[in-house]
Amino acid sequence: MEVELLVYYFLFLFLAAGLSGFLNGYLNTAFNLNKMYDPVTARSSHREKATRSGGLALFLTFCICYGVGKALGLINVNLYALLAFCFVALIGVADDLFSIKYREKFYVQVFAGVVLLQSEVYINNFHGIFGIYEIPYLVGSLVTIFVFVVIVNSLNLIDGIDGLAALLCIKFFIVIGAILSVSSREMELVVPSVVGALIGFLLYNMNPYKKVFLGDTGSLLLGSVIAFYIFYILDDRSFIITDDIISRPLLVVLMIIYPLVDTLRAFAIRAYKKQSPFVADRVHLHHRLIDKKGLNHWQATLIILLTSISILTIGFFLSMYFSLSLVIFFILIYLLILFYLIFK
Amino acid sequence: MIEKISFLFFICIINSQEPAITINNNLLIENVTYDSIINGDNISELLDNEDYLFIESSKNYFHILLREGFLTGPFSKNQFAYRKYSKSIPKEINVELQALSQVQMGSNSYLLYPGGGILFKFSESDNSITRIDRSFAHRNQYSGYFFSHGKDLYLLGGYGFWETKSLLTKFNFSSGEWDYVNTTGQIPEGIDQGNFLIKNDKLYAFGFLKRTSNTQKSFKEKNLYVLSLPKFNDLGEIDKKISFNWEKKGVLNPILNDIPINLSNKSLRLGKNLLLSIANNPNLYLIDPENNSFKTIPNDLLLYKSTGKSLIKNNELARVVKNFSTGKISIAYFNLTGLEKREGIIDEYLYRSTDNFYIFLICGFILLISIIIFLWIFFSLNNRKYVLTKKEIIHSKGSIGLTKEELLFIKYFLKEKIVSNAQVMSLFIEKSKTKDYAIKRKNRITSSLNKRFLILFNTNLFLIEKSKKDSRQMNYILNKNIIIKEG
Repeated sequence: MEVELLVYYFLFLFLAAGLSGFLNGYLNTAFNLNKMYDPVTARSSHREKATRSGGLALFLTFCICYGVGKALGLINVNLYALLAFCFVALIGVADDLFSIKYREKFYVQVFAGVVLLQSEVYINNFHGIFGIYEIPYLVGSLVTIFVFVVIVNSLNLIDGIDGLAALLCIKFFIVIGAILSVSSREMELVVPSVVGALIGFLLYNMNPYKKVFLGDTGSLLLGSVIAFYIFYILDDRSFIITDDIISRPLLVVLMIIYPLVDTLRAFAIRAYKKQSPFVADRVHLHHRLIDKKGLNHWQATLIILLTSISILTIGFFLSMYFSLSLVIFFILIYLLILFYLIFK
Repeated sequence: MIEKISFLFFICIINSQEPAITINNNLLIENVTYDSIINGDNISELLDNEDYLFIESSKNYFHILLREGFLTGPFSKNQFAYRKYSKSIPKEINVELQALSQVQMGSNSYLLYPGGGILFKFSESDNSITRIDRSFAHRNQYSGYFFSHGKDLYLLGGYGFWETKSLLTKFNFSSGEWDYVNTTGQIPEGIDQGNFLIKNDKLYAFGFLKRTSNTQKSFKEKNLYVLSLPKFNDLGEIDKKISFNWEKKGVLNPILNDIPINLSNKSLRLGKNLLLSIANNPNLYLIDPENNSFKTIPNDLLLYKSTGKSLIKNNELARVVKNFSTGKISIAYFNLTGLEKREGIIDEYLYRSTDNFYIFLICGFILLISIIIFLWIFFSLNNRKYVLTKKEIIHSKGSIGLTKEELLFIKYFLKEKIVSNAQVMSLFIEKSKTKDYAIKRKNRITSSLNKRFLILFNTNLFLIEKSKKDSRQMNYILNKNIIIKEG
């Protein structure tokens, strides 16, 4: 890696971490002064006074880092993608401040998905899932919007305990950063910006005196950025260095395995109980670790993060030696073992 | 026939104007036999119809093949020797000469018909072009890369029948046919046009187009590919273990990926490296794939403004240049000596490889582990902290509502970790009540608080121990794992 680029990586990492730290502290104080606390309810996993200002701090950090990167000619992300991120972040801000109905949030997410489609980064190929490769534009667009809504909401759903969503996002961005480091020079500095911003946020998220949550702004924003990069991987026009090792859809699933599995499980349980899939409850796996296993937030977060990394690593290495179907089979067995050992 | 007449007519015109061509049949100039001498300044008419082919020669000069004969040069005073072919060129050359691809092998030049299949040999000693294959016009490998390695001729990739090809064919000199060569490894999906360099038995290929079906758009390949070519051992045998294996090396420098594919782009071998000249781009690029080096050289020579075939001989680039105001064609020479040492050269990487991916991944996960360790320490410290508000004591595991006495009792621990029994008793003594009542009340309240702490936070708030100074005195000692702060 070039020295110049390495310098920029650290520069953006520290810039984002510093900015995020400052903004989180500043917004936390401002929210506290205005008594804008996150209400403590029976479902809440916290008892301390906490504000939902983390997402706004993240959003502002991204904006400043992107502005600096763009001015220096180092970062360039498609404008439609940026517009979609802004839409999602703004609906998140509105939800954090005024609590918006789920249906309204859903419509804006679909609209943001349509805007994101204009970036021409979308799922245009199934890469062999069900024996399908290239797909027509209309089908690709519909699938892209559906996947966008799923990912954005699954990130929102796992944001239930301290550090979980942020650390899983850092893991995702490290992997996507490695991919972008060999395929897209103009987007690679997005990664240290996001990771730095999340590090700054985590210091407040773990702080009982000045507790800050991502809120809907943060989780929806991170979800939409993750969704964009997933479309980038699944778009067959992108060069993905891992193509010779692992199938693209499998890589994507492994990168976001926890949000996907947890959301799928939560929806299944709610459907079994004949409840709305969007009802708020404590059926998530992370809640299970805290409520049933008696772990604290940090222990639960760490277990989920390490589990998630182990699944990705195992999937990656198995793909080097076995066929796709065998790898999927092994991963499913591994997931069952993990569930039995950790979550049961 | 028309061409012959026009050429003779041209010779007559030239002779009538200036003595540019001196007819001195079968004379020798620097060991080159010639029919006539042409001054370089008067070469324009010969090249005007653009039906010529610039080719390398085994000696220090180059040839320009024409329909009836060929030029050899340049000699001193920018002169070219003209010699007619000993026999007429094969009728199969029914395309412009520029359309043929040329490869120099030993003293012979091999000329390949567009699309592959038909092969000609230009022999300097015989002054002739002869067809040497027993094949046919394949029309399957247009714009393929025609090259020689060892004593073999190969044709790689190309475009034909609505598909880009990645196949490799080798000319069989005994049968006169083209044989398919099996390649292994990470084979590119198609190799149309592009840039190529053979160095140390490896063929580096990049910047080519790929398309696998008629309905698909052509995409410019963004990776550098390497094909290992046969290595010959001391006995002249091929080491078959590593032959013809493709390897994808990594993403090319974005500058290279952004270069549009244009017929005016030129890639020429300069020493052991590849020199790229791009249409309408004021830079030259010097590429060394073996050392992952990509140098951008300011091109004050304006090479990109010249058109047609060009080649490098003796560190000098010869190129056909057309003056658009006069229409006159001449051959320009550019001295490339010291090109790599010019000022303003930017040296960058040529490609990012899988090594970069793994390095990034490892560094990323080291960063993640550092964050985890840092947060662990941060969380462990914070996990000991309890926030005391006016109504409750809060921890991440939950909160305990406090009575007035409990709040005052805990407040003692804000100042010191050891609180004497006398201090605690002062909270419970009332003038109207007995001391025994106060003691019982104190014990009930403090033990209840400790019990609630144990249930909720899995730890005691305090321990009761005898004072070291006075064994009759009892002290309340704050649990070592608890830090209380006022919130």
